[in-house]
Amino acid sequence: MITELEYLIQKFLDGETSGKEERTLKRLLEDTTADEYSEVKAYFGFTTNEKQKDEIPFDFREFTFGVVDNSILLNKNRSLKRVLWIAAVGVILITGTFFIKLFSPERPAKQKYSEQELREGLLNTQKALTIFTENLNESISGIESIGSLNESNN
Amino acid sequence: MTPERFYETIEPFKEKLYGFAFRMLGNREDTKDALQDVLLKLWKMRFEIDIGRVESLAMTIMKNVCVDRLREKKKLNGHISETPEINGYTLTNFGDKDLVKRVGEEIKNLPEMQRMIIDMKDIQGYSYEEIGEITGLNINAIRVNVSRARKKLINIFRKEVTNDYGT
Repeated sequence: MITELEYLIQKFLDGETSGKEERTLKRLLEDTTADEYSEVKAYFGFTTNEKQKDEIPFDFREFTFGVVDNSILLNKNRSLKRVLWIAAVGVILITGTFFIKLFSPERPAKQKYSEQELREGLLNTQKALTIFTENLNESISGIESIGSLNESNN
Repeated sequence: MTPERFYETIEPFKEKLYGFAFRMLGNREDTKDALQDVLLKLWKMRFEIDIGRVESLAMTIMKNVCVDRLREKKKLNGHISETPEINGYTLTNFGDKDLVKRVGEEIKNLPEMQRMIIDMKDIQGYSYEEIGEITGLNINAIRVNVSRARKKLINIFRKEVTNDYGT
């Protein structure tokens, strides 16, 4: 017949023990003096020992703040880089546009007058030309009449 | 979340994080780097963190960081046996330095998953459910890994104890 200790050891090895059973197992092992369970005792001694050694050998607070500060600084640098990139792209665009304008062939000048003004201009020019033509015709007929007068005198 | 609040959130389980990484990676330099990676990742996730589950999240990240680092080491060196601190395992309270070394070497030879799970279960004291949350494994798979690792390790202790006492 197996004892409670043997039963719990077997269960422990099978990974079937609950937390409560493991505590009972440890207590029973501490109480027993039998050599046959030394390896299980050693195992528990080992795991307890390992747990005690988890102490961090440096200032964790300082370490954490160092990591956080570095991360913040890195983010700031990233943001600064982003801004610099945007500024650089802006400068390149502006400079590029300036040089394209500078070296591109001249475009036809913009219309200085509106359509209405042009029409008025055209009408005035037509009127002026009509007056000019009338006057010219009158002058020509005047000269012709003088010419015919001279011929008759001769 | 302020840096101070962040520190207060992590502080209660800092030893678990450090101890786990130290035993997995085997030297203090790598452990410090892994801890830094975990803190950085947690800080970046600070706005999405559920405070009630931050410990299991941190352990999950640490587990992944350790696995990545171990795989990287394996790739570089072909194996990971040259760590002078025997993967963090020492047995100074047993007085026998050879035993410390031998057990350390044996533990190092356990499969990665068994090593992780046994650390979480028997050293850190996590429940099966918590380990399931950290590793993403189901409880039966965890029990199987725990059982195999315990049997192997206790066998080693049995051999060592038998040799020491000459029985």
